[in-house]
Amino acid sequence: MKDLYARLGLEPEATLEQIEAAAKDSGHSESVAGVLLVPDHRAGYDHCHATLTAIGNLRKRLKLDDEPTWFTQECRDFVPRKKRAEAPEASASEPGERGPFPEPELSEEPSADRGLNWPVIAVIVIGVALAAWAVLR
Amino acid sequence: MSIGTSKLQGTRGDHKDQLANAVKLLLLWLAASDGDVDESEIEFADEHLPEAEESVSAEKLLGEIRAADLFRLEMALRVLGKESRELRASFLDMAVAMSMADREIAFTENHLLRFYADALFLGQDMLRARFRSVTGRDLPEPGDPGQAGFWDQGGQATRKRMPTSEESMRLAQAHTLLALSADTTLSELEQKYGELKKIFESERVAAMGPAAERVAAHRLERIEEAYLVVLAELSGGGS
Repeated sequence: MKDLYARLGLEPEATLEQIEAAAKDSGHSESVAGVLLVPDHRAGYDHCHATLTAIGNLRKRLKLDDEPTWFTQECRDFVPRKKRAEAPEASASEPGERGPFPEPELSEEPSADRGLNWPVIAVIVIGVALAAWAVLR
Repeated sequence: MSIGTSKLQGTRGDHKDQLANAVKLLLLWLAASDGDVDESEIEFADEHLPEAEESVSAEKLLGEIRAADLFRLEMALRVLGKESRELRASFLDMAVAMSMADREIAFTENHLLRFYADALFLGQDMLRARFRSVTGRDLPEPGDPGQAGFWDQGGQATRKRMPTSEESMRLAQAHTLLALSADTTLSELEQKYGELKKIFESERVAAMGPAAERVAAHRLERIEEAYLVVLAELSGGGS
């Protein structure tokens, strides 16, 4: 699903006049005319938009946004654009979020789905190998 | 009243309460996600919203879901994600059943099911398998509400509902609910009825708390009603 608002450079609260103006020469005029400029369609679209925005932000929080998941392929407009390295903390300015919130105290379930911290593992392995080498020598 | 504002904080309530409230919040998000809360969902909310003092309107229920912020939803997923694979799979069955409570799965419900499957470490393959087991159909693609054609074909708002308890269940609806074809045999009926009863039996979902039990019980009622309709038809007593 396309985020028509983002592609037009608008917020979901944009007026019809703003949408019409932004849609000109945007390459999305057909979708805009059939969705955002039809009140019933826009209401339904806005509901879907809000849900996908929440899902996209939750996927980011749960670290389910990095891998080429079905979601990131089909709904890439709703995957928060900032990389975690650039934005380590949740920002209240991101759509659908109310923050800042404290980090959850619960630990995550160990799972291959979440990825491994390979640099740390490499350091541990090298350290153990060096210690073994030192003992055996 | 705000869903889970105190009970999902995670430090005071015991584990059972945390799990029950996590399940409730996630199921309510699913129930309200299509923006079209039906009678069974309102009934469900009536019985299980902690401070519900009277009949819950659709608007009120939707308001409560909107009041649940991302942190609480994230916490709910983390609480449930720490449970056994069997319990997480059982939750997914409840979620599928709730999403299909009115026969068709909405765009937002479809996305939430896919999200829950990933967030609970179950994956899309298991979701597809569980969806087929519970509904007898393949999980459809959600479609694209960003295209005008999606809305011209009805969008997610115009959906056929399952009959309420006051209405008689028609044969076609019973077949759909039992995931059976129109030319089903008695042995197929008995087999599918047994499979679905196992999925929704109370012992399997009891650990998830009253919200999941309520969803399972409601689904089981509908399954039993559908079973009797199809059985009557196969026995020559159908109308």
